[in-house]
Amino acid sequence: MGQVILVVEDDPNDVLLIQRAFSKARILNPVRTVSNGDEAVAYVSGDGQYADREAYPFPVLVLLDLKLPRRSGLEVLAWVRSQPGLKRLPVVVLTSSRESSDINRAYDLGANSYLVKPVGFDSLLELVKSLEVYWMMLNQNPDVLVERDAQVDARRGGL
Amino acid sequence: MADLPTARSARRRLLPGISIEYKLPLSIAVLLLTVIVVSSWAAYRGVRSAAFTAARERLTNVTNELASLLQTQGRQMGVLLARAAANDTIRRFFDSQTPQARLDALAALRNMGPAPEQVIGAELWSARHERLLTTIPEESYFGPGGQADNVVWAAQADTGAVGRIQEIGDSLAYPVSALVTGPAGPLGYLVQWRRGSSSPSAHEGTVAIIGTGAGLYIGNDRGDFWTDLVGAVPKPPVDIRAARGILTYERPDKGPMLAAARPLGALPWVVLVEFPERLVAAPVTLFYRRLLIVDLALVVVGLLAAWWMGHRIAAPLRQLTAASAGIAAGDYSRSVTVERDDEVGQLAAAFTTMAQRVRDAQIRLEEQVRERTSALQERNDELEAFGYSISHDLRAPLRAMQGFSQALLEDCGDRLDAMGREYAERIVAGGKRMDELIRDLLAYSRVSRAELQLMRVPLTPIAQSALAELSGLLRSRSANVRVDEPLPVVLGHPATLSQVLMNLLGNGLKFVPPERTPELRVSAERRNGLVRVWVEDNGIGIAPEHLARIFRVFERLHSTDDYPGTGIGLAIVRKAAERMGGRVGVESNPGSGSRFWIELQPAPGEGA
Repeated sequence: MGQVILVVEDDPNDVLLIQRAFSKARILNPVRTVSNGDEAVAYVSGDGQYADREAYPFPVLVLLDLKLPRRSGLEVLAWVRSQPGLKRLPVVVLTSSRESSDINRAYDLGANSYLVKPVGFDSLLELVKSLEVYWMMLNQNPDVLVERDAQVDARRGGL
Repeated sequence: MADLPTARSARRRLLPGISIEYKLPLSIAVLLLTVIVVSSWAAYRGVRSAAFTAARERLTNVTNELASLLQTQGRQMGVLLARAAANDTIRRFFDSQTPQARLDALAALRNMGPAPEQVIGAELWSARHERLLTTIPEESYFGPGGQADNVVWAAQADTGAVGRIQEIGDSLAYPVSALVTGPAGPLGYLVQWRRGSSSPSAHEGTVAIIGTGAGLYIGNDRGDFWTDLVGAVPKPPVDIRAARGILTYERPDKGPMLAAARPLGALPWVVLVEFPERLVAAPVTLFYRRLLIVDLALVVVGLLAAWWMGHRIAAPLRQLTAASAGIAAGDYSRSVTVERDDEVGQLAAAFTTMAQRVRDAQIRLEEQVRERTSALQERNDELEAFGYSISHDLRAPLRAMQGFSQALLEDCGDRLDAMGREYAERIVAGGKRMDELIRDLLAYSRVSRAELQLMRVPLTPIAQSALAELSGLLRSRSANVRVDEPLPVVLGHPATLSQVLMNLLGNGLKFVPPERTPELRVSAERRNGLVRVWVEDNGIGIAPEHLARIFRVFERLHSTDDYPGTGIGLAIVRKAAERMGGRVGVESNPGSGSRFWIELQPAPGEGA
């Protein structure tokens, strides 16, 4: 299985359109979606059903919407950056807000990129292609889980 | 009314800007001096007049007293002599002038009467006024047969008579005569010569009566001889016989004199008493000097009191003025402490109350402003949330419309007929327009409410970035763009300025008819201390009647079919210009193009 991209998006229409754009762009990376902030936190920390990493592999990239039910995108981002074993995880904000307050806040919290959802599907397709080229091919990804596993091991050893 | 300003300005010129502290004592001193001078003068005049009246009265009294005293003495001397004349020895001498009778008579004459020191000598004269016998030695004698002029031959047997005073050698003398009668009638005269000058003790007595400094003179009633009872003196400067009441005259050695004269009636004498006016005026002068000292003390005390009063008024007033100035400058902390119950204290209390009220009102006002500001802030936040909501929530369904109609065309296009495809395309176009509308509305609301930090902005790179943003559009129309570089540096907000230029350029480009090559020009000029940036196009232009409307929100002059747009772009430009302290305008030639301009503040320090 290829490297998983986690899409955090509450709008099923947007989920569908993003998935269509991924398939149109012939991106082979599997996409997993969660529809709220708590789910997203559960997914990356491997809690509950997400403990099954066969079915829900740890993502290499998170596409994060900001306006989410329960925990907002910015809260998810802040939480991820505060976790020692998760803080390097590349997070790209993909939202419909152009507000400079949102943009500045996202970067302050450690977003790796901030993209605005285009209205036209063609633009969305272009955006998804660019994402794949940049984050899957050009960008060198950090080790995220190594440290996490080491910590888990250390904890186990301690027990 | 016309001369009111003159009066006011005249009053302003008197004692200009001098504190009450000095004005009050000055006025009071002037007032006091006036009162003192007038009252002192009146008092001086009154005292002087009273002194002179008293002096005149006393003079009259003394003169009368002396006159009656002298008259009494004169009468007494006459009576005593008449008694002495009724002497048998003397009568016998007149009957038979034998040597024995002569010796007896001489002895009788020598032993006559008391106070022998006042008597020079006694004589017996015949009825035919010839001297028969005398006790006065030959060498000091008056002269042969002489000095009988002053003897009063009309003397009565029982009273005798006093004669006029005359000078005999070194001394003064006057005769007292009495008739010597026998059984057959008058025999002759007994004449006694008495000294006219008084003894030192008698003189002291006189001085006690008339007072020191006064002069007592006795003269003959004919006015030909005057004495001060010591020796002969010159006649007084006025004719005593013609004078009545109080006399005034000048003595070369003593100055002006007051005098009173009285004839003695039975005696052929006149008594004259005189005072130097200097003596009368001396106590008045003394009084006046004392008055002056008292006046001086009064003025000093008055000045001090007035200064103190002025200070009591001026000091709190100064405090009030300072506190008022403080309040005017926004300092409410100053208090006025005047612990008094009078008007000044009441004024200070009223002022303190007023200052307190003003301060309270100010605090209330500030509170209200704070409340209003926070209410406004709340409103603004709500509005922001609303805009945020629109940007998120309206876009999501829009994306669905667009995405799925496009997906419909792409994925199921083969199953749609021409009409179905057209409908789907119209959904896509409608979504696109709605997206633009939302975007522009959000931009407008952002420009309207965002906090714009104004800074120095060089316009040249702003214009370049705006053109870069529009490059696709410009290329598609093969537009020619000319920028008159360098553009000036203005005071503004970079992102907003960029938006403004983009909107103006996009607007210019949009309204060039398709068959015409768009010619755009960006230039700038200084005008009335402001920077005016021009954006010119060669488009269809705007009819004059529409010029006023084009900067309003949603104002469109053309259908979206002819010239697409939301009708918000120019409204954003106007709002942005206003938020940056500038304004916008347009000049247009319908058919051949428009010249939009935006005026901005020049950056500080940029050449005017």
